[in-house]
Formats: sequence, structure tokens, C-alpha cells
Amino acid sequence: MSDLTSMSVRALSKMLESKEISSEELTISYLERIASLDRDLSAYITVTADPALCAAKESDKRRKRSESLGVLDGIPFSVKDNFCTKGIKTTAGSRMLENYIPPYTATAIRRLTDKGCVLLGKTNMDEFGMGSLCMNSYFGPSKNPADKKRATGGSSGGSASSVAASMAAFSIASDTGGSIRLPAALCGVVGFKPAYGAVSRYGLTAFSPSLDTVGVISRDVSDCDAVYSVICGRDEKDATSIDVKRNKKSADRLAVGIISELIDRPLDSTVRSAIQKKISNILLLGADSPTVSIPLIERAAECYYIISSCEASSTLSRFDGVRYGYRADDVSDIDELYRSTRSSGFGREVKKRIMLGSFALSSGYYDRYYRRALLYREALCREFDRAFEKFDLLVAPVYGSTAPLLSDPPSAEKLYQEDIFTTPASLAGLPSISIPCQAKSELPIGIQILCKKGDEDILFSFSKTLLAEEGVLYE
Amino acid sequence: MNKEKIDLDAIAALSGLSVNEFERDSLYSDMLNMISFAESISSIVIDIHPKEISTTAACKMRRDIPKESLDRYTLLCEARSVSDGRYFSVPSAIKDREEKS
Repeated sequence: MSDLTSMSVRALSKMLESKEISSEELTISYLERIASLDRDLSAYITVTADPALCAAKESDKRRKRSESLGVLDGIPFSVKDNFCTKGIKTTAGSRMLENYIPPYTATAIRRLTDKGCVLLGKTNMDEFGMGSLCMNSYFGPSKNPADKKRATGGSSGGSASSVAASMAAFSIASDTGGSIRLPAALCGVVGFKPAYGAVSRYGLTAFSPSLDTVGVISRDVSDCDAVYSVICGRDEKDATSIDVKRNKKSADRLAVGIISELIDRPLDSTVRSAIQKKISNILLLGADSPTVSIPLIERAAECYYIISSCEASSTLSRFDGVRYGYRADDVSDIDELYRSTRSSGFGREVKKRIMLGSFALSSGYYDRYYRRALLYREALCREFDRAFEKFDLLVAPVYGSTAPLLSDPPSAEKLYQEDIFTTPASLAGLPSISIPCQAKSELPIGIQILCKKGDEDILFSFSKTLLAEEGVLYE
Repeated sequence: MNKEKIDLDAIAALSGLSVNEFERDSLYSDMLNMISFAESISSIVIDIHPKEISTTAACKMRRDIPKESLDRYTLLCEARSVSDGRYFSVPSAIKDREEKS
């Protein structure tokens, strides 16, 4: 029954509906696959086998009574370990929360379990979402299923790896500056970052609240759409959440723009060739695809690092060793408790970003960095608005190379610069999807498609056509 | 920006962190690189007045109605140190007079 684990959510749902398989059998298949593969891949930090089997049995009982909760009832999934799950360890990839067990569940996860989804476990990630390769986890790096010597991309590396290696039907992850799209691209799966606010952030461990979004990693676009439809929508517990009105618009003869500042950047030859091939396919599909210039994109990564680090210096101030999480021993007073707990509880990358944020917000530097970054973000949003007056969709690479070797990762500076591909959509709060654009036998490469808020149906429809053009990856 | 003037200990203090001697040099170098990277944003011409900054957030507030919250026991469960079964316990916040002198 191992074939089950590589099927799409739609196919599995049909089999569950026709009682060809049970959710319990399906869940056991995934758990067996996790047991056999995850020792090498380190996609999961915590596997919740017993609760998963209980949930699967409940789903089977509902189906027997013809009381199915919908297409996702009985489908097993994984969750990035920065979403709070009641009674289940939630570490955010950090020593600071190594043994933290939350007393409540994040809205996005609750909406899925309310629809009968079966939680298989919590996935590996860069500490607090800070990283591009999933090599900053306190629990060690996750490894790429396409080549275990290579990184998965980050920060949601465990989520992407769990889906790519068929250790979950889909995964819920967060994307602050590319954390869903990048690992999805490097692992060869679909990764969707919704518009800012489209999915509630309640219960998501905050990194940068004005940029954090909750999205989906899946095997194909239809699965992504089905999951997104369940988790999206206004939540009273998140004041920034909204109901996104999805525009009904024909996907025929779309105007598709290639972002020149991103396509003209240095790209590995394999990446350039795969992207160019996809662009040729876009032309064959009948879409217009001239290039479009969004000049401010050139400094998107810098702006992202200023804003996200400033916000992180504030959001991570809650970790003080008093109410929950790691606490340093042998301290004499409260000040030493704070300093010692935070210095030994946070990893190096997190400390660097907190310090950059504190510096950029400090007296004498606030105007120069933070306020300027806010102005830049506003100007970038306006440039995107102008681009979307002419185009329905925008296309760009996701990353400049294939997955880097774990033994030879790029420098931190190079990684920051590479974030130029994914941070523009984050800064502008736009929906963006990464879909595979390379044959399964080769190292995965992704192509990114952006749309304006409300045009998600067009985005999904176009992405499906583009994927189907070379055959659906998994069926 | 004069890179030589970065005061690592002052930034660490603002961040609620301390820097040990083993990591000082490499952290200093990393901070210089990050600040230098961020610095390039100052070279862009942006024709927007600060008052024009909008937010991507909806910020639709819910009605302010008291609801049942988590109980004290549940909240104290995750703390490393609890006093009297009712309070979070922390080391001394005010040093006594002898220690100060």
C-alpha cells in the first residue's frame, strides 16, 4: 500500500469516499514511511503516531455513518513546528522552546482538524523561521529527498521534505520572506504563500507580524487550492485577518509579465534553462508574456531584513525564561536571568537578527533604516499596483541555483542576497506560488507566479495548466 | 556609517543578550556585514511622504467582550519555576542594600 502515500489529496479522498481504503490504513502507510525514511531526512521533529491513529479511526467511523466532514476528512498532513498544537510539543526549531507544550491550537490547524484531517506530526524548520536552507534548526538540518547530501531550503524545509518524500499528503507552513516557496522549489513540490491576512496567524509563533503568512505545501495545485479554501478567512483572534473576495475572471488569454529585475539576475545555467523553457510554455499557452520592470525590487532583500529584524527584536522579547520555555540555571538576579536565558536559548542566526533589529530601531538609526524601509515598502507596493494594471500574473525565479550541498552552503551574505527573488511578494503582501519546472529525475527547480489579492483562482488555474502541460507530477 | 563605531556590547544590551569572548569577533564581523548589507537601502530615492505609508493589515478589531481564558494552573504548567503553586518564580529583581554597597 506504499503507493497510497504518493497520491494526490483528490485521489485519496475519492478512495476514502468509496471505502476502497480507510483513513486508518492510509495513516499507517504514512507512519510506516516516516519510520523508514525520516531517520535520514530529519523532516519531522515530533511524530504524533497514537493521536493520528485515533483521529483516523474517528474519521473512518464518520464515513461509515455517512457523516464525512468533506474532501479532507481522514487525510493525513504535517505541520511546521512553529504552529501551536494543544498538548503537542511546539519547538519553532529552537532550544528556547525545546520542551514547550502549548495549551491551545492555531486557528489554521484547528480548521483542518475540524474538517477531519489527521495530524501526523510537526516538521523541522530554521529556528523561528530565520534561514533559507533549514540548516539553522536546533534539532539539526533537514535533508533533501532528491539528494540527501543537499539542503531542503528553508525555513519550512521539514514541511517540504515531508511532502516531497511522501511522508504527508500536504503540509501547513509559514512564509515570512520565502519560507514556503523556497523549500517547495528546492524539493520539487508546490508551495503557496497566500495574501497577507488571508489566513489567520493566531497560534503561529511570531517572527515578523507584518510579513508572516500561513500557507500550504502540496504535491499539486488542486490539493493546494483545496487546503487553502479550508484554512482561509477572517478569524476574530487575528485582527489582521480578512476574508479575501476571490475574483471570478476568465483565465483565457492572460497577460503574464516576466519580472526583468529578477530574470536578469545571475542564475545557474540549469535554473535559467528550466525557467526559459517554462516561459516558452507560457507563450505556447497563448498568454502574452513581455517583461515588466519593477525597479525597486533591486533592494527588496535589504528592506526585508531591516523590517523583519526590527519586528523580530520585538516579538522575540517575550522569551525571557519566566513563563514558559528554556530557562538558564545559576543566575543571581532577574537581569542575568534574561540575558543568560536568551543568550544560551537562541541560536546564532536568531541572535544576529535580534541585534540587527535592536540596532536599526535605536536612537539615531531609526530614520536611517526602519522608517526608510517602511517608505521603500510603500513605494514597492505602488510599483506592483502599476504592474498589475497591465498584467494579470507576474513570473520570476524562486532561487538562483538548485539545492546547495549541506557540506558547502553559501555564505550568509549570499543567502541574504538570494532572498531578492521571494521577498518582494512578502513585502507587498501578494499571493505567490512556486511550482516545479524541472523533470522529476533532475534536481528540483521552481518557478514563482504572483497575482494580486483576490486573483487566487486565476493563479491556481494558470499554475495547474502550466504543470499539466508537462504532465501532473504526482498522480 | 563608520563601521568602526559599532558598539557590540551596547547592541547586545539593547537586545537582552550578552556576548561571550568566544563569539565576540565573529559576531562583530557578522554584524558589520549585516549592517553594511542593510545600508544600501539608504541610496534609493523614494518619493513618498511618511504620512502616505499605508498598512497591509486590516486591523479589524473584535468586540471587547470578556471571554473565558486559560486557567492559572494551565498557564503555570509550562513555567520552569513556580512559587506556592500560584506564581511564576523569578530571581531577585531588587538587590538588597548590602549587596548594592
